[in-house]
Amino acid sequence: MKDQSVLNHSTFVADSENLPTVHYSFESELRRPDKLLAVIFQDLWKFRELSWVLFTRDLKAQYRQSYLGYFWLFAPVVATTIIWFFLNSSQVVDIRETSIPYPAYVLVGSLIWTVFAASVHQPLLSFSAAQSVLSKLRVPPETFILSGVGKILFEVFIRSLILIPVFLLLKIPLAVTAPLFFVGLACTILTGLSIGLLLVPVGALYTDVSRIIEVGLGFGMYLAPVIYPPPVSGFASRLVSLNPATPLVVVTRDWLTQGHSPYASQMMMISIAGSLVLVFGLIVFRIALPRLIERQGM
Amino acid sequence: MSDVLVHCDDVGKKFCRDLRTSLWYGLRDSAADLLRISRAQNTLRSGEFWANKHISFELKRGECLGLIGHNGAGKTTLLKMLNGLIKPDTGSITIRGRVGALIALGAGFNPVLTGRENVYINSAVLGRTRRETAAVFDDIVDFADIEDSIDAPVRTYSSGMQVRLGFAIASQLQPDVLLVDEVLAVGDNAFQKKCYDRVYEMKARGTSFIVVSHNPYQLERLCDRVATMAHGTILKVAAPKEAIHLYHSEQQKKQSRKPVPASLPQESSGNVRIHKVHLETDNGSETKTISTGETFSICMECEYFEQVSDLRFRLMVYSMSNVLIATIGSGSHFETRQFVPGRTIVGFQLETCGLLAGEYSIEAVVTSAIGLQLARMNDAMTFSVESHNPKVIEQTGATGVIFVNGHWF
Repeated sequence: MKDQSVLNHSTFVADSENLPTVHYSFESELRRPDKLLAVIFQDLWKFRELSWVLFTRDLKAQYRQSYLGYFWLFAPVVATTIIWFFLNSSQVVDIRETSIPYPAYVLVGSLIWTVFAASVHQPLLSFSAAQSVLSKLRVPPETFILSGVGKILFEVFIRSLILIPVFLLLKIPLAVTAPLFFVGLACTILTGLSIGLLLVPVGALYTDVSRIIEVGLGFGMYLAPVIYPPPVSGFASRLVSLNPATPLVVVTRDWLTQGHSPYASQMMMISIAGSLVLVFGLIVFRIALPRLIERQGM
Repeated sequence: MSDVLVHCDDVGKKFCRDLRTSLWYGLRDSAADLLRISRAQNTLRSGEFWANKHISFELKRGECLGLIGHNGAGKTTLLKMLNGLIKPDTGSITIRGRVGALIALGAGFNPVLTGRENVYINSAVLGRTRRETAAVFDDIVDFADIEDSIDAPVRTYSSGMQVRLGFAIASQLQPDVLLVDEVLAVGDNAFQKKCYDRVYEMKARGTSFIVVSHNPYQLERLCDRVATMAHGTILKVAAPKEAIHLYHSEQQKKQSRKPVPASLPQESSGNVRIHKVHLETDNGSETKTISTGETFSICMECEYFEQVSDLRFRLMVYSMSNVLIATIGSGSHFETRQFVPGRTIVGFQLETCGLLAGEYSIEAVVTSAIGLQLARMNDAMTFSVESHNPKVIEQTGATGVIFVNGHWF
């Protein structure tokens, strides 16, 4: 058997018999945040196989009970595209001309948005699903989040495949920066996760948080240039530019089809901020975990 | 000191009954931990109670400590703190060595996936790699005895099969300290025996145990010492027999505080009614406590509403864990006796009380000659047996239910 992982609120002391010694007390384990962070990553590495097993478990379980399987990954994105293509072409709404044919524009936009929304949702979903295990067994909680990230990556990969026939059909050329599309997606996931993870400690206690996420993401989609190009002036322009998801959506899409993007520097800043928040979120999550478990009841 | 694996020092844990307040405290405590301002919380905040208080004990290598106590006495809370899932509010716990847990068997099982897939999942949750699991896979399936259905989805398993598989996986580990929560009484008798054998094997290899159980016989068999818990505190850590006795007398104290119902629940056909069952000592005085080896009588007071004859009386003695110890039937003894309307007592005298210290209950039944039930009283009375001569019993190491009278040669 492997050594027991060292979770928080425990200190690691070597002793003569080389038995790991843990010490639990009321004291906060945040005396050395760098050490705690090291422990979190050690645990993630040690339990990497568990993350993988959990990821494949959820994947298998999800599709074993379904005939249409992966179709359900495409369905929402395709539905959004069709609806907005219809609304635009029948001039129910009037959307400014886009850099690439409108259906492809909406398709790429909603693909990126779906990834962002899933990344915000995932940490709380993963934690809720893992609660029954976490409240009884000592498992690094981040493994469940990591397997959730795996799920997001898998789904975005499958969903991206739909771009191939659409781009071929509409004869849209790819920009030279097209491979950066995946970098853009990675930054989107990272930023989404950082927000989601930070909300877990409160969200695990109060269901209001998941409601807020739901409503917030609903609003956010229309406040980001997902189905329309970024407005150039006026109040709408300011509102859209305040949305942290705006640079992520615009830049990732531009990298695929345009090559350069006016929002690139903003995107950099958001991604750096996202990474810092993510690290902070990991620490907060670890520290809060025993408090969350004790309030879950037996 | 070097072979002490678990050291619990004045550990306390507070919980809150009101959900909203509890969540609010949770948020505040998290914030305090983050801001590094958490202190030992020796006082209760409004709405809180001590789920654990002043818990101190030590556990040495290879030792087995039992925890017994009523529901809500704080056993599971203590296990959770020992397992590092929740933090103590006061005091501290130091554990040397790897900690394992036979808790939540089958954690992470997905009902849609097959038994085989779930073995790997559950094993990974317990911290084992795929390769390590593969090495013991056949042992696991063999132990759980489910070769035939290992490739069927787990949701087609009976609950017994699921628990067996869970136990087989979890018990493959070889930790230094193993926490066991009420899981040894799973499956049928044959499987329970396998579980015990597995536990003894681990104990022989030097694993220390902390076992939570409500089953006194289980604790008596396994444990070197048993801690009796009540209302969050350890009343006493003692030899299993003594601890279990303390547990039972606490239980009785609790029961006797409840008002006695005006009429005990009983079934009656209408012509006979069991009024009361009581014990009498040799000299005829009523009692609720007898000693091992003593002579006493069980008396059954019945009321007859019409003249009846050829009645059969039956007394059944149960242990506190509801195991039937003995049935005393009157057979055809009262074949010719006429019971006239009114109250009459029939009794049975035991030459020597062959029960060991503990709590017992009696069930009384009256039937007709052909076995038709006329009256029945399920929990007619409870009584306790005390060790007549504790020294002798201690010296011979008598445990269990029955005192065996005989000699070695």
